[in-house]
Amino acid sequence: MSMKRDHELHTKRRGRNMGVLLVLVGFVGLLFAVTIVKLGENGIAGNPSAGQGGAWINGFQDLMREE
Amino acid sequence: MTDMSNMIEARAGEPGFGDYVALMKPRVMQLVVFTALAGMMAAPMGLHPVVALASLICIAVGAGASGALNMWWDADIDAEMTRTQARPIPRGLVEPGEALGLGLGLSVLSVMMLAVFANLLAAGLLAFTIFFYAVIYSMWLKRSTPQNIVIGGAAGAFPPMIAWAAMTGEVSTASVLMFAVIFLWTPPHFWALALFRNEDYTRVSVPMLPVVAGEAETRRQIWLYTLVLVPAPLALALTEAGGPATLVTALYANLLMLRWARAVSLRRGDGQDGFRAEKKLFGTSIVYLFAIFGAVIADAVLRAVAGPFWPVVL
Repeated sequence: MSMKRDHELHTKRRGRNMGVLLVLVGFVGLLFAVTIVKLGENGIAGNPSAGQGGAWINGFQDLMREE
Repeated sequence: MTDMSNMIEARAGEPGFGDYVALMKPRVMQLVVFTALAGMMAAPMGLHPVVALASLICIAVGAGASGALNMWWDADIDAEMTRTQARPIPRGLVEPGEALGLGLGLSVLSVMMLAVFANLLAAGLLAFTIFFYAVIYSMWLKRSTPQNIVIGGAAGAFPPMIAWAAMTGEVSTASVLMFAVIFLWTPPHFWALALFRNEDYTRVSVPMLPVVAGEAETRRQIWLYTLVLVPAPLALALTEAGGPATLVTALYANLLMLRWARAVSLRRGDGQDGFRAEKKLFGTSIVYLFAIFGAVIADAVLRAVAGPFWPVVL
């Protein structure tokens, strides 16, 4: 009996692992995309330069300079 | 055979990824995604498309999570019913505890993520929907009252309202009417199915209307609920979510529903014709819902192309 031949059990497990991997990668990708969009849209509450269209980092730096 | 091969054979019923997907009732999720998409597209203001897509995924996952919780709770009767025997838990592929864990985990995750992506109102509505389907409908109403489908239908009616809330941050006449269309559509749809699947529900003592009140009363109720359903999509056509496509589709789809609901209500017999009218009504009702919400999407596209041109009465 060849030791390399996969049982159905291994095939199913591999399929399940790949499925979980794809779901996790998709979830991380979704979070990343939403984060980029929300930063770009000044979606973070309290962004001091939201009205001027600046990103939070710039706004924070501007705030520090003013002080 | 060796001990190792015995062990492997014993676990040949190992679940695949698709079995976990099946726990989430993908066919129900299709309907949820479609009606929620309609609610999103019809909303007068909105989120960035990426955020809207993320919110739509949250609504779909929340619906899937409530499906998994339903399968966990109903595993005993699913094993007895022809329609549900092939589900992963009755087949022994997935342990009930796994379904419970998956359902609870995805419920919490989807609600939290929707709160982050959209707003607290949408997340709250999604949480309530999951609770309503899993606890109010599955655990309480389904096995205790013949009105189970009527009240439980609310769970399936919430997705377009959640989607609207995600986009606008509020509940409006239009979103309430989208809710009403699905809510009032549910009883004739499920009772038509129950009429030709009656023996399934009788066997497991689920008090569906045909089991408790008899076929004649069920046929009468189907007709009455169809009459109540008819104004809902017509009213929807006169809101900011509606338009000419919704109005024309509602008129035609209503005629079809009325025709087959009347045929079912007038029919007397023991099913020797293979329950033709009931199956026609069941099929028509599926097309009905997709047509109405498809028309809502079409009107949203029309508004995007031509600007606001439709009088908003409601």
